[in-house]
Amino acid sequence: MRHVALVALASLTLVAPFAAPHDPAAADVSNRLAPPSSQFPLGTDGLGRCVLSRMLYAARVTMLSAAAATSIAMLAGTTAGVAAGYWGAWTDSAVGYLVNVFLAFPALLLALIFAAILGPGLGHGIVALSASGWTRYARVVRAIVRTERRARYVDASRAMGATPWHIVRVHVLPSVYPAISVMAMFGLANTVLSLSVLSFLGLGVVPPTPEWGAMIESSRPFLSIRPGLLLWPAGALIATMALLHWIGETTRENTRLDLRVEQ
Amino acid sequence: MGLIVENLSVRIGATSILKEIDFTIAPGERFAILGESGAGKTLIAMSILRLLPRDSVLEGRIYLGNDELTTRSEPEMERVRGRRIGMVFEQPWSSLNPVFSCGSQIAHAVRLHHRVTPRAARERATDLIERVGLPRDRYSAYPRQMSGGMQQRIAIALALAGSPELIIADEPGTALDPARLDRISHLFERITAEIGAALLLITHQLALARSLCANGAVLYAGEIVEMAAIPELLDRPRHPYTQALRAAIIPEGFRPIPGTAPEFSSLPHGCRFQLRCPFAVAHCEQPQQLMNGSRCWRS
Amino acid sequence: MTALVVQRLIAAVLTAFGVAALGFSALNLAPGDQAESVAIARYGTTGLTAERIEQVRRENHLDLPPARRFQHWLRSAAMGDLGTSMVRGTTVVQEIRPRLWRSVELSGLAVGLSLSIAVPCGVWSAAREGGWFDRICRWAGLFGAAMPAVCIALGLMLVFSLWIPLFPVAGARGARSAVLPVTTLVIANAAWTLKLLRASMLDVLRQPFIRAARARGFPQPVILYRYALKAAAVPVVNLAGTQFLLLIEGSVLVETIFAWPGLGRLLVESALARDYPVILGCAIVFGFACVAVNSAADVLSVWLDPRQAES
Repeated sequence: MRHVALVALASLTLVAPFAAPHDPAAADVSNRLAPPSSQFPLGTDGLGRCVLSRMLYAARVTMLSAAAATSIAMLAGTTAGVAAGYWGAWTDSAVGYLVNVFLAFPALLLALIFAAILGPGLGHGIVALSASGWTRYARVVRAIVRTERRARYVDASRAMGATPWHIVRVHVLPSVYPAISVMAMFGLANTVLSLSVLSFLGLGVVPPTPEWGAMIESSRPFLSIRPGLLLWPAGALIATMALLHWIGETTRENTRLDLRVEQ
Repeated sequence: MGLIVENLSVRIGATSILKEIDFTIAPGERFAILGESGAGKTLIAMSILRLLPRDSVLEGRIYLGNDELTTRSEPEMERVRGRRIGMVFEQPWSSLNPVFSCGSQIAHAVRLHHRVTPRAARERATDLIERVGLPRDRYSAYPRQMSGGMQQRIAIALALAGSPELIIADEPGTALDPARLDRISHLFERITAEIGAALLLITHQLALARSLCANGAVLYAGEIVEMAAIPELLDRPRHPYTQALRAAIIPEGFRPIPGTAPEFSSLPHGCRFQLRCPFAVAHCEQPQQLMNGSRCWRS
Repeated sequence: MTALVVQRLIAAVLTAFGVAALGFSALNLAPGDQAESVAIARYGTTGLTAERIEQVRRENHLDLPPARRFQHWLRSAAMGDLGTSMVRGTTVVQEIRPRLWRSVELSGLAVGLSLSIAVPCGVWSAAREGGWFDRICRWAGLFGAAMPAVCIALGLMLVFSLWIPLFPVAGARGARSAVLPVTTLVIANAAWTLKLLRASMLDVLRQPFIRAARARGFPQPVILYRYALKAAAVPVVNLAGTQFLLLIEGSVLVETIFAWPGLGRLLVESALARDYPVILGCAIVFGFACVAVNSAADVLSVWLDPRQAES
């Protein structure tokens, strides 16, 4: 069931070019704020662009960007966590200090500040989101690595002359995967939301790139006449986040079950 | 002030637990309720304090001095609990609030029951701490900083905070070695004598009952099966269950009584011990009365 | 206790220093030539000459290596000078100060209201577990916590500003304009606090010492609000720190949506205007606020329950 949902989400990112009836950037000011019709199933926005097409492309932009940001954060965080957990001593202290500094801020605020410093733009937004998300992975991975590091089979491995890289890859990482896969799901949901907020404020995507947060922002002047311009992207946002949360929850349940079976 | 429990029966939901519990404690007397765990001993204490679960039904009468307790409202019972009846719980460490210091908990209790200034309450709390045999500076210690024995004494001090007429001690001797058991026994003896309170001792440790109490009752599966003076009860038991209890204690420790106590939801008719009793006959299925202190028709 | 406070204080100072360093380094990683941007802002693109750019560069120490620039910046910051806005010409501190107070107004009000709703409801719903009040609270908590703040804000605006013109859509004139922004913040914040406090209270109320307290004659309100709450409060305080930070975060959004002239809005405005000194100034102020909140929550939780000191 979970895998079905994942596939559905993934296909969201791919479907747009095929399913969208119009070019999302095609503006036709003479037809702005049109109600839903057979030609424009969800109507048009303030610049006469097809809402449905924009929604579909926005899904793509959001999912791909969020996936990119999450992957970078995961990679950076895991590396830092492994380094801190494996080598300990002052690598650990250094990483720890860095994590504390980053963690002083709530994640979204940090992303906002980074985005503010770097400037508007999707690329900058992705960097900002990665920078605010890596700490979670670092902490968890560090804890797992520290425990694994002390395991006897690690000592045995070192006695046999295995390189640290080998030990990490073979003994340590397998324990790390389940934890971070669960975190990645929730991280993805968070990133989707954060990206929307950034775009809403003007710091993520730049027009005319469609993105749900940006669409919510541009619906503001027309709230009283066309509330649908708010409700569709808002609904999509909430639905996606709920779906990702659900996938995360079930993944968590499953990893617990797997661990129990192993024992 | 003494305690009179008259025909107390307690049902939880549809299950009858306590049946026709009847006993009297004279003012200043020390009385024991003996039995295995699960027999319903703590439930008697909870019934006296009216701290029963929501779906329970209580029948019978309980008199503390001249006051009948079963018909009192909740606010009235709040004035009885702690002030006129002090309870020392089984596993005293879990009855202490971990986020307050021991002394302040006692002081709270003192202020709850007596109209005194905060300073006077602190004084009294420190006195109580001393009285249970602990150094005065333990006032500011937190429960987790103390040993189990010390925590128990704090729990006793808490029970004394309201100057009660009756102290209920639920399994005070569990997890104590004989030396400590002895000291706790002396502590209870001294305290109840000092404040003139009666003591209701709930325990499965026969030795503790013997050293502390004048009279006692044996509880099995929610029913009193024998009641007599302690020496009589322990040296010349008349009910087969009490006899089995006594026989279970051998120099090496315990020899368990064959069988297990029945579930309260599936009690036999008549004598509740018949399924484990070596002397059971058909007559035992008739409801048995307490005669001459024993519920067994054979004695 | 004092030893602990000192220890946490030192940690806070170190972290704050790290925050400043982080902000500064991010600034220098930003693309574009800062000297050029400042020169453009000052003289316009037409008045741009090489000498002017160099002059700007020297003035702002942009020709020095980053470490020394950081030193300069630190020194002036320590004396209260955070630089000058490139766009407006006023000093950063002048821009920040009034807006900081307006943000504090909003956040303070939100926190106060949020606590006064969430604490009694959390306690009462735990005390009457399973009852109708509890059920309402659980649903409210679930709903409020799940909705993104953006949606709450816009939803409120839709209903109470546009459909039913009760409150102004934007601006900060008078108390009425504060209602919607504060409500948005309160909804999200109170929901989380309620959920957490309720769960924590339920845990505590199950503990044997609560039954013992009843046996000792303590009346229900005292047990709930003094005995149980103190023990239950610890995880809430720990999370209250986080909640306050989320509030600060949320206020950025809310200020933008409702055009409330606070620090969050300044951050966004200066971000869009590429006004680097102001951006950095805002970032530092936010950073310090966050560190302060975290430290306060730490100290408070130890005061409430001394067992926390051991973690």
